[in-house]
Amino acid sequence: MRRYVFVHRGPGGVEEIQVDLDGSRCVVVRGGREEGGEMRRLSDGRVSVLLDGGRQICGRVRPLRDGEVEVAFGAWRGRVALADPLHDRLAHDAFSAGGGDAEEEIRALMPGRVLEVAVEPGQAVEAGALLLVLEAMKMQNEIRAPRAGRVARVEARPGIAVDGGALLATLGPV
Amino acid sequence: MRLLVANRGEIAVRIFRACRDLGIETVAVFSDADRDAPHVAMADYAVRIGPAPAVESYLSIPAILDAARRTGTKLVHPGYGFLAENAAFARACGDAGLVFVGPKPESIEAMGSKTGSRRLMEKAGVPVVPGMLRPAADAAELKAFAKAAGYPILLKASAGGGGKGMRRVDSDADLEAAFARVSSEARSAFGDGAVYAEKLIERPRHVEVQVLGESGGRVTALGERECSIQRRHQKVVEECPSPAVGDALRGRLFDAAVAAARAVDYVSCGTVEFLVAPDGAFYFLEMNTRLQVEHPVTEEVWGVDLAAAMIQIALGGSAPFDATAAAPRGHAIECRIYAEDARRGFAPAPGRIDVLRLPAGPGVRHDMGVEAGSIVPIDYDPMLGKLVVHGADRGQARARLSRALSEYEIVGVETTLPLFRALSEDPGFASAEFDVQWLERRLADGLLAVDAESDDSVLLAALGLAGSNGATPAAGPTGSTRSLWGDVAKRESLRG
Repeated sequence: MRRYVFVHRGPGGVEEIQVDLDGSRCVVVRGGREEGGEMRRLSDGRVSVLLDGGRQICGRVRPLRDGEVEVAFGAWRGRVALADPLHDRLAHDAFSAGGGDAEEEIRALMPGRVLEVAVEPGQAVEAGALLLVLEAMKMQNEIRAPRAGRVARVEARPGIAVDGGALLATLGPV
Repeated sequence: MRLLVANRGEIAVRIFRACRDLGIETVAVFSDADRDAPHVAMADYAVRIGPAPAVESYLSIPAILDAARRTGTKLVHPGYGFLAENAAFARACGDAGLVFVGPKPESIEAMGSKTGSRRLMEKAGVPVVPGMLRPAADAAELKAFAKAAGYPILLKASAGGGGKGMRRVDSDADLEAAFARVSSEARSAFGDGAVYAEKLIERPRHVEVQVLGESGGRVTALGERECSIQRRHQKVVEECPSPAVGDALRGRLFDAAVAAARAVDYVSCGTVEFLVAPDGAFYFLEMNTRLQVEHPVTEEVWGVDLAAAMIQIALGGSAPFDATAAAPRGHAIECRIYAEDARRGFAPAPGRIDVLRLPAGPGVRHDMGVEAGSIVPIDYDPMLGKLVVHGADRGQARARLSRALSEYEIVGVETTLPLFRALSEDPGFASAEFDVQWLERRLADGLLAVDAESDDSVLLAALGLAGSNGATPAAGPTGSTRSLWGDVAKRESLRG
């Protein structure tokens, strides 16, 4: 029997999920509840789980490099933030709010023109917050914060043209 | 008898299938990027026509004619895109003693000029969008038109088509800059910088009519298609019939389409595109003198094989069925599967298809140009193929679409499948109350927001991860089946 403990970061917060595997027999403990079943890998790589109680779930699971697992399950396709504790720490501590002193440079992907600057120095932003809008190759590109942080410096103004690689803003720790 | 398809991907496969049904031998042409492609593997003959860039291969008239000569080809089908609406190519085929499967070169030419075709339509009594009849010599002419017709206007490339080379202008202030941009875009895309202007019809629907021209001048309308679901002027989802067209409007659209085709002595399959305004008025947009990407929805509803019909018209002058006796049955919907990452601004997503699981069952059809293991090259349009569903009515077609999408899997490249999954559940799609800007409004409004993970998907993730020994792939391409482009796209997406 092998036991795995994973860290799951979901909409409800951070939790531990424990999986015990013994051959094809599996037991999952989550939120204090235990669910058992039998797991098989199908010939095309998908996983079929026959849960005690009769339900069957089947889908494709692909571990990714950054603490996430890509899941295709019925019509749902998405990423679940799930990893062993080491990879979870590697994926998240470098970017977590309050962690890391490094300043991150936000640069233009390609030459373009700044259409909009949505933040100002000193402003706190969440991961995914809109920082700037650039126009390049006839498309408008939204530049978003790769992580939560505080805007340290803004180098761009609406209307200016920028070269590929130009520094647009700097994001510091929260 | 041999037929050469001057094309690649799903349309080459499609036409080869029609040839097989008719007992005609198939000749494929391929660039260096396509030696392993499905259309080559299924052909009786195949000729390499050049390196990957289209201009040196699929657009090379000499290379294609040489391939035809070397293989004893009799018929040439251009598919869509590439040389399909190139009158010089059609003419060159004729001059070389080949049978071009399509309309006469003069018909292609007449409809190839957007301004020329508008003048023809006015003469034929087909309503056209108020617009300039000749390209503008300068911005002043455009301003004068805008003053008379009223803003907003649409600047269009005279030599353009397929939704490319267009720009909306709302005021005199934006006009000169827009004119310069459209002109230069047109010059680089179509080799001709001529620009004209049309009144912009707000919130129109795009409705097109399939026409079939036979020798002797008989032209039949074979139903209409609704193609309003577009992104950046490119069709994404099409259906037949149009849920917005009642019998009276349908009759008028068919009459106009037939008149348009007759005005250019049209033979073979073609499509007349219209804009239908919210008030029910309709206007000629353009005529596509070729087989369209979305022809399968017409085939499913009308029970015809349009590719085979084109071949038989090219050989004998008439379609293999009585076009006037054809009748529609049920409803069909098509989704264009592109190798574009719907979740990252539809960025092109070339790479290798590791897994391809196609749905099946009643009412499900696939016109695919790739297989599991195919590499999607960066050199061409990233369309992988089409999913087409058919049902007794639109409701059943939509249910079958949802079912098919839930079974559909492509792993290795990102595609537009998430867009179709979101659309198939969207109330606006269900009610069919859309116009050509509807999809862009819905996208801006969060159509593609991911549903929260369910307990079952988390359970599966945990079990799947444990089952692979909790192993996280090593850094670098060897340990992971994820494409390099995917990694680049993810990094870049954080930068916008």
